[in-house]
Amino acid sequence: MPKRDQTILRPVIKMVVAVSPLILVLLAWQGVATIVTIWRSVPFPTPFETAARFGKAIGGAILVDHTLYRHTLDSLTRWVLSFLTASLIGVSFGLTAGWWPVLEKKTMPIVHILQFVPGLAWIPVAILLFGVGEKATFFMIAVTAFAPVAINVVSGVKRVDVVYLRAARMLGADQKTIFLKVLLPGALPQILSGLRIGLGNGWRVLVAAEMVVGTGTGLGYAIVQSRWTLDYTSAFVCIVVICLVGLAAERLVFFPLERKTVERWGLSRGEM
Amino acid sequence: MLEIHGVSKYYEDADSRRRIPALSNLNLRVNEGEFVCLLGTSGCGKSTLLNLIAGFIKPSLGRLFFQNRPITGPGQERGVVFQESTLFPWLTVLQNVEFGLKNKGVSKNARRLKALQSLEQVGLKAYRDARPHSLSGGMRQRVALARVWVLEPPLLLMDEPFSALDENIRERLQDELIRLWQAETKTIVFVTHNVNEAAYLADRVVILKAPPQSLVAQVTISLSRPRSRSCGGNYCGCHRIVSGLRTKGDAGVGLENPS
Repeated sequence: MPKRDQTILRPVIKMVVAVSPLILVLLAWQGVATIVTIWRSVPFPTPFETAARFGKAIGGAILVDHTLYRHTLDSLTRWVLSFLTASLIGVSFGLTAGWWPVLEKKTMPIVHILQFVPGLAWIPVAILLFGVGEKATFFMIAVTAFAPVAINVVSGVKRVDVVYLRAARMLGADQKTIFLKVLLPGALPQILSGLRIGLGNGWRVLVAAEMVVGTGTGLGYAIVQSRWTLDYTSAFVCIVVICLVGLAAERLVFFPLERKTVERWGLSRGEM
Repeated sequence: MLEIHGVSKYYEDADSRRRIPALSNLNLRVNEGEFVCLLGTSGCGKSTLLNLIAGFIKPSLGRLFFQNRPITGPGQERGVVFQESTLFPWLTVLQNVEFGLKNKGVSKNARRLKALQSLEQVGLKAYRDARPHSLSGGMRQRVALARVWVLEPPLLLMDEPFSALDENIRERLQDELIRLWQAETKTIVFVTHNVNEAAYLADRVVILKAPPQSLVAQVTISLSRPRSRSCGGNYCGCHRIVSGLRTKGDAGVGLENPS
């Protein structure tokens, strides 16, 4: 009976389609690992070895001086704290500059220049300012996350249709109400995309900063340390965790936030 | 209640840096309780004039007075219904109607009560929790009307509010507007490019033309209400007025033929 076959097959096909990119990546990884191991006779970690080590680390095994939990938690803490600081400053600055052309003219060129400084170029600056350690990483993440947030918020505010501002003033709104009840929600689609870019930038520079600005813990630190012990499998475990965290942030934070606001208002991202 | 003395408005063209006149030396008086239509083709300055009265823009020359006080900016006493819906998409229908009351400092309960009453007047109480984007164009304009009506403004400014709507919905909204206007005597300045609409709604039609002339003619329409719409082949009072408006318009305005 072909009909029943179809109903059974459909979810299976759907699942295969959904996981096929992952399978492709794993296959390619396995292929590269095999070739490299034969060709250069160095032990390139395979997906299976990595999965096995990941399983042990989940069980609480030590991975480069500390547990995987400690590394992940420390990285996350640094990331979240500095990102929140950067976005708070970025959003308030962006709203003000988008609203007040004088400030925008005087300051936005600086922000645009900041955007072109690669995250890692801040290393010497960070070390000179704060020495080696937590503060330096904090600074590096914050300064890299700030620029995309600020730039997007400014352009979001400027793109809020003037008729909304006119309507608000006609309805007796004061400056504060216009700011919080019109500009902020009106610019929200762009604010969210700015935050998303800032979050991604911050995460990338965090891992890199931990590699250089010796923090003693964290996923980036673990990756660079595993080099000295030739424990490359651990490094791969950390890379997998980094990918998972990024994915989780996107799926668990931004998707629901957009669904709750922008989509429910009937606006799509970048509109308005 | 509204006085406009020698008002001109120029815009600066960004490329040529030349001053482009939008309105020149216009004088107009609107009386309490009057329904005035500003009629003219696009570019005649009718929307500019409305924006000046609303206080969104400032005149280059001349002065505007509302209730004997100069107009310095927008305010709740001059409610505006825009051509396109300017309801805030991030608020529900009810929150949109409450927005002005909140700015006025009306308490939460009183605010809700008034807003719901106002929504009931336009027949949209059931949609209180809907978002503007899920409403039809006609419903949105009804909410936009409720949003300013709830503030009880002595003067209502309407900028081609029904021009984007289907014929039958437009006619229904025109009737609702007349009904509201008759129930609570207000002054209305209504911008339109549609001769029939002007003839159907207005006590007085002000025909505008692009500068340097600006004001072409003023026609008082003393037809009783409710007025008839059957202006087609049959004779009626309104037919005479429509053709009269059109002739006056054609003198220089070249009004477009309404469908």
